[in-house]
Amino acid sequence: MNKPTDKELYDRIRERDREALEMLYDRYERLLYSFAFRMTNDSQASEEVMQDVFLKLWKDKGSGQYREEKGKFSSWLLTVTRNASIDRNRKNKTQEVEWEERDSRHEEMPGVEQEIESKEERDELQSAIHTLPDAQQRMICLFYFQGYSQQEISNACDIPLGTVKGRIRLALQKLKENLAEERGIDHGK
Amino acid sequence: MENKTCHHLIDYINDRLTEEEKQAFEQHLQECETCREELQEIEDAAGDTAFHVKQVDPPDGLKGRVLGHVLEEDQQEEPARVTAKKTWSGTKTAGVALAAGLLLSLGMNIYTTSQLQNLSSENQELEQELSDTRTALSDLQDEESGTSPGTQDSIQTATFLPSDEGQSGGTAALVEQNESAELLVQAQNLEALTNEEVYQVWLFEDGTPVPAGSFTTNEAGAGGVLYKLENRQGDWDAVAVSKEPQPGNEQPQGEVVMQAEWS
Repeated sequence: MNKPTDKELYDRIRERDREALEMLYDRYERLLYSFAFRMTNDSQASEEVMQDVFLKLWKDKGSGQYREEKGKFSSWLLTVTRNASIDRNRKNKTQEVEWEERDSRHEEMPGVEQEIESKEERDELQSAIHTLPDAQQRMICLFYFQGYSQQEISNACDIPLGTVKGRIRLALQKLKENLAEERGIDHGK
Repeated sequence: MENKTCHHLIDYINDRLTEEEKQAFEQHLQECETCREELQEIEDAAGDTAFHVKQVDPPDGLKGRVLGHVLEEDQQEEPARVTAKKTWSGTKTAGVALAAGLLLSLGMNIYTTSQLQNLSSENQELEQELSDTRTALSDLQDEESGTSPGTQDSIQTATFLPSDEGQSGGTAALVEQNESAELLVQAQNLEALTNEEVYQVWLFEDGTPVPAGSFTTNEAGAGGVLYKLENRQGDWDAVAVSKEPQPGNEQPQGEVVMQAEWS
């Protein structure tokens, strides 16, 4: 049996094919949920992220639209999930200020520094981040986990706007190497 | 050659551009190979990290709730977010999505009897959630009655009690929209059927039974049906399930195994 590719499923979803949506959901549920959970550190928020992501996909508008020049489908879908998680963190943070004083949740963004201190189970990503130099850890934290804009990163790190992209690429590159080492994968280096 | 638009890459990835800037950047992506490569590189690296996250088990029923939510929003075509409603607890929200999820899944014809059996094992939780659903939806209707009079949905739920000392149980949900209605029934711990026997669902209007779908059970005695009542809205006062010697009866012939009143 030929399994449809992600792109084929996506094209069917655009034609309102519910079965394709369900197949894509099954394919990515665990990965996306785990990722959202890592980003939000909260099961209710992760569930809302899942709803946001699949609703975007189904509605096929704006940032829910995939095109091949946007890169690999799975990378794109993870980016959508990451952005939905960041949005959710922002909203929850604001809401809690408005609602009631629940200080147990989301005191901070699930930033890297905080997570490393916590005794919660470490994952490979965490260890790989931990071995980066401080400046690169911070870059990953601001760009990746907190979704800062280029200008915000430039301000926070006090570096010229024009160098932000380069720093992010470098930090991510380094992170990728660390992850490969974590896994003991030889990338031929 | 980097131009001004190239500097939008980071903000594009983090979705921090205005809609106009985003469209301009996407246009630019088609022309600028460097940006395409860098986008791919960053997204790959970012995506790659996601595979190294500790895998956690999604909670039970997540799929039904997520896909249910998608369908629900889709039908409403309305930006108002159920999840953003401040007075609701998470459970109520989940209840709405769960009910919609069940309808969605059955509508997709994807759920098999054995999956229904799994569903029925969550029956108690379901009952609670259905009851929450009712509250939540009635809240929602109150909220919306002033703004969108055209989309009058109503949902009623019922919990079956066995008619004698049997152990059967189940739940029913009736969703009425415009001129039509959908009835979802799921039950478990029913006696095994023989020959052509089926479990027949009846809706009662002023004490008169109207057939509303039939189902058979799996080895574990669980089963369910999603039944559409086209162009038929009634003042239903109860719902019952009887064991009929054959499908297609217009009047109950066999014994009623469970019944419930709408609440």
